[in-house]
Amino acid sequence: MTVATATPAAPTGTPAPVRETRSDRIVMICNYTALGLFTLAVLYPLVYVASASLSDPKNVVSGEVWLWPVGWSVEAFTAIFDYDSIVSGFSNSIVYAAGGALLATALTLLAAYPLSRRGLPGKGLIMALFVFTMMFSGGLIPTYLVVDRLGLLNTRWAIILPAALAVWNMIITRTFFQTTIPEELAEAAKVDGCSDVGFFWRIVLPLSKPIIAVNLLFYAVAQWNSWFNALIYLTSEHLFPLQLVLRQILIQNNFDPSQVRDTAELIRMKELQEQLKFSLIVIATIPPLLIYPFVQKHFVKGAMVGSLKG
Amino acid sequence: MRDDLRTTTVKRRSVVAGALGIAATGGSGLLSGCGSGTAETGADPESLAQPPAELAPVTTGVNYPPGYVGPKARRRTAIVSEPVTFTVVVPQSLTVGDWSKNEFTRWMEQQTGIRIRWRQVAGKGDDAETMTKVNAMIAAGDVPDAFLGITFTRSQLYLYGTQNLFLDLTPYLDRYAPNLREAMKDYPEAGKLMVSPDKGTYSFPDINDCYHCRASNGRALLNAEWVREVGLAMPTTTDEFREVLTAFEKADVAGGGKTIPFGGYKDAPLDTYFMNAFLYNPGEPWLVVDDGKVRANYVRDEWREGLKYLHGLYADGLLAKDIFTANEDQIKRYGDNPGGPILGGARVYYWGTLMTLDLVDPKARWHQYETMEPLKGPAGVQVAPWDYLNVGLEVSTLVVTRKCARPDLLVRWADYQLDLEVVLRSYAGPGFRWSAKGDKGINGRQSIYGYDSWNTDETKGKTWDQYGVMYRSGDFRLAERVNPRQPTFESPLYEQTRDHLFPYRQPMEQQFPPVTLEADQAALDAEIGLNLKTEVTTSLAKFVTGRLDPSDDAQWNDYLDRIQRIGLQPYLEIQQAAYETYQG
Amino acid sequence: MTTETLVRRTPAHSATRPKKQAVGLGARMRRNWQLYAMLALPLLWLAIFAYWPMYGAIIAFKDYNVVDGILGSRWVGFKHFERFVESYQFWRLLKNTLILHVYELLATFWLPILLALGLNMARRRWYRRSVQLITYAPHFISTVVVVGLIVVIVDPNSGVLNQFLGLLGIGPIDLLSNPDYFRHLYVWSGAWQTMGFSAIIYLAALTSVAPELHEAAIVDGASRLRRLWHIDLPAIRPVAVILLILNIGSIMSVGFEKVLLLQNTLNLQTSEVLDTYVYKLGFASQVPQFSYAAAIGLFRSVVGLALLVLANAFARRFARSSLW
Repeated sequence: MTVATATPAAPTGTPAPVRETRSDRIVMICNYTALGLFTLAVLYPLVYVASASLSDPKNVVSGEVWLWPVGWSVEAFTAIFDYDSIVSGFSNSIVYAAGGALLATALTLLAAYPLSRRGLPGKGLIMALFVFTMMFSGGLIPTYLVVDRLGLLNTRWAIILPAALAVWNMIITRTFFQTTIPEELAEAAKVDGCSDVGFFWRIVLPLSKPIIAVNLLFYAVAQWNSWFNALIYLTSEHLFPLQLVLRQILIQNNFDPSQVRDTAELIRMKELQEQLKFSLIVIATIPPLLIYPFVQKHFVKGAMVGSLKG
Repeated sequence: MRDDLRTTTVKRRSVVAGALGIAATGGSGLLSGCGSGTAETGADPESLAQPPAELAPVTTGVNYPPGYVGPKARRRTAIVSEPVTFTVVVPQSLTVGDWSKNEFTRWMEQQTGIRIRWRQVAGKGDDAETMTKVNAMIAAGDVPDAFLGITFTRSQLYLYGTQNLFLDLTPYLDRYAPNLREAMKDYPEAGKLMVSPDKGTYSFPDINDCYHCRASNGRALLNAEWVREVGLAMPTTTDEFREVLTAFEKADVAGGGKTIPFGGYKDAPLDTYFMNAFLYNPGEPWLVVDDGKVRANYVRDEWREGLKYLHGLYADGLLAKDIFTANEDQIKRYGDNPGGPILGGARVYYWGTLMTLDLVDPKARWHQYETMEPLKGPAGVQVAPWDYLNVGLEVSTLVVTRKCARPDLLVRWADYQLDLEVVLRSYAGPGFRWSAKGDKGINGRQSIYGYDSWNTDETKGKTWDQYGVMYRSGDFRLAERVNPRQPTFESPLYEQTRDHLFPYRQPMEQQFPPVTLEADQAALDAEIGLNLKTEVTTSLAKFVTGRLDPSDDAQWNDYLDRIQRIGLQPYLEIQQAAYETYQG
Repeated sequence: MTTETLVRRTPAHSATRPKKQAVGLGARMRRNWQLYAMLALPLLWLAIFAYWPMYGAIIAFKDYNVVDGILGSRWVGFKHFERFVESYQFWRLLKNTLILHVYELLATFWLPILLALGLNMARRRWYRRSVQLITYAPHFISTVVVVGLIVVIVDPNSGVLNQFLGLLGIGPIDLLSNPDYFRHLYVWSGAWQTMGFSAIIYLAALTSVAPELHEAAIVDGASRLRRLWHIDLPAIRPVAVILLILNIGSIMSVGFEKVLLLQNTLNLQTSEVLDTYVYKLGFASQVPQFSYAAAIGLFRSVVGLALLVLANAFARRFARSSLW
């Protein structure tokens, strides 16, 4: 069983072609152009958000900023640190994202692997049990009661545990196992005296780096972007995640203007919103952007086969 | 300096009083005022057996304007000698910060002896987010002693009140809330607005009499400098208004074809200004009381006349193309247009919606825009809709639940916050200053107080934003000192409301009051009301922008027909019944 | 054990059934006890956090009030469902929701696949990586800001889009006020925002393709497009089919927050969908209507489940890939 411990070779991209025909060249040029154009289209708003976060809010509101920063100012970023809730929200979010991703990925793999095996009796029923919960849920109040009953209210576990498995991810992971881990491999391993758990641990996991990476990323991102569980289950500000604070600034300041008792407050909140809107998005986007390359590393074609050959 | 000294003495006096136990009414040895949340505790009989609280004498040294009606600084004493703790649910606020570390929280604890274990809920108190969380808590039986700054509707208060979840505070208010009783003498409508149909009072209210807010719906701004430039006067009739806009358009005052004669945005309905030249129209839900009968505006012929008028303006290019779709950023972008104004006027709530306000420069752009008087229509109607009843008294500021064992103490705690100095601390933080004799307030009379900064970085973590229980009368609000070197928009807003809108207000009896509905009625009301709202606003936009023609009988009748099918009749019956209950 | 034979198989096609052994169910279950043990934790989670609260769905058939609780409230049968189906806007809401979702599905389902295939084909590493990273980023821009950007870009007076159209001699179009354009605006801005993120899953799938397959095909003189069609596409097909099925199951819900922010009185005719309606009803109501909301949710789930089962049957038959 040396296969399992082999490190993945890292051949990149399509292997160098023996010869390239003219039509292939045209396809490649079209491909590069299309990718480039699309990237530019996506890049524009990103640049806009970054520039807006570095501009004087006044110039953003009046529409003078359209590509590069106008009235350079980093005040929006320094202002962020004046708010304890933003700073603590940021670190809470990292805890929730990291903890949530690890736990959820583990549960997902544990569920997906057995359900990917063909001969498992009762597999269809168990799958149906999972899929059913995608469509039906008990709703807010009974779920709250359950979390309350388990004593999780206003603890970090209330954020991590209820979100510790997404059936969607589990199904995708199962599909991966089905297509990449041949059933014969498991059978052969069994004949060799390897238990199911042993096979999963020593062969399946090392072969599944891409899907593990995807799971970690998806769960971490989902936790990073989520706020609803925090809204429902938390009542201490020092536990609030960043998104909850962000919503406070971005969305909740949309006052009903006819009901504003104090115009001065309206102005103040508007200013705050205009000032922090873009810098908060930048701050909230950086961590997911930073982890992406680590995930990307595992999207290397042939990684799996390479390890098998080693 | 002098002001600081005064505050310290007051503080010291009350601390001394507290230490001597002069004001300590009961509660001795009682460490937690309320049950831990397991048993259905209910109020301790002791809580109604305390001696009633009396109005304390007024302290000296505050300059009240003559004839002042509002909160006064009185001698304050601690409520309990031994600390008592309550659990209170509050909204999250960037200004308040962590409620347990907030400076005003600490001050209140010191002064009153009442400690609060805060449970902070995300959201600003009146939005879907907060209510989702609060409803989940209530449904799960996870109920605190009280809710502060969480906006329950009147119908909700009534519903939970009759189900014995929220406490009827009537006996407590009678005995332990002298400041509130005093305030209610200043506001005679308050009693009627506070009680539920079963005569229960399920919350401690907040009074915030915002003068300019009462006229918000009828406010529209017009560029007075442009009006002079085209050689006309501020319009007072619908015809004159059309003339002015046409002149803006013809002269292209902004230059380069950029002139937008009149703009607006999707959150500021047009009808609340323009329809008032045809009939009294307070805006959504467009209900008025006509001789004791509730009527809907949008099916009346006068409404149709108004639509024809707006249709004409739009067809002539006098209203901005995106007047129904622009969002707030968009209208502000027009208002802030670099190089000079391009808007002739707009239906907005105040200058700040239209542009960034420069408060220092006396020639700043916003000074060009003036509040229009209501327009007089062909039939002589000219109304500025005045909100007598929805502005001023807010129910649900402090809601005490049946979990609370000592409601008397929480009521006293709330009443304590109605004192002038406590209001100022709660609202503006410890940095406020008493005004000297001769300082002018927003309304040009003697001012009482002032502050360098309100709701800024300096007051962060020091105030309760506006979530505390407060008494802010009209006189109180207008007695804020205006810094002559940096006048804000508050004075012009007050003056223009007083001179251009107040004189044209409708009689109070015509206003449809804030009513309370039974749960079943509320469900029906919500559904029909939402569909009606969609139909009315969509059709209004279509009639104005020319997708429908208000002069076409068939199209108008189709519209009326749709309204009937949605259920106008049952809807009006619900409102009529609720109105009659309100009237008692 | 022989790994060489395994490598030769393309993963997507290794669908030979294991030899059926003539053993009883009990014996087979015992043989697989370790697999059941692995499932124990996930199933426990499912039982606690998904199935335990599910009894709460009964409030759709009750007049729920918070003081009496879920079990104590009065039964009312199908009252709330009837009210919903008979409501004035029911058919329009249903139509708008379905059209919007189906359009979104049709327009955006294949885009991430294209992007992933294109990225997979690109050979320059730095190019591929930066395109990936950039297209992935918009996923993190909040809806409020995205809608703000849309409004700026399509503004009839000063927006980039209309200035561009002006160059082509097309008069300014007010996309926001016209109900005909609402769906395009919603769908294509969504495609632009989520395409990069959705492509990740396909990129991961493409890693399972053995390079030897490509090498062999090249030796056989297969063109790039042929290789894409015969090697890359089959590799992502199972995932694509599964995603499609899941998407059909969620047909009754759309990105509610974005729809709400893009709404105005002029486009309501097409932009009012189930979710926004329920949300507004919640706001319009002086008393929260838990039961009514639950009934609408249940209605949606039942429709979704029916479509899911249907789609799954189709997929099993025609694409030989299914959820269960």
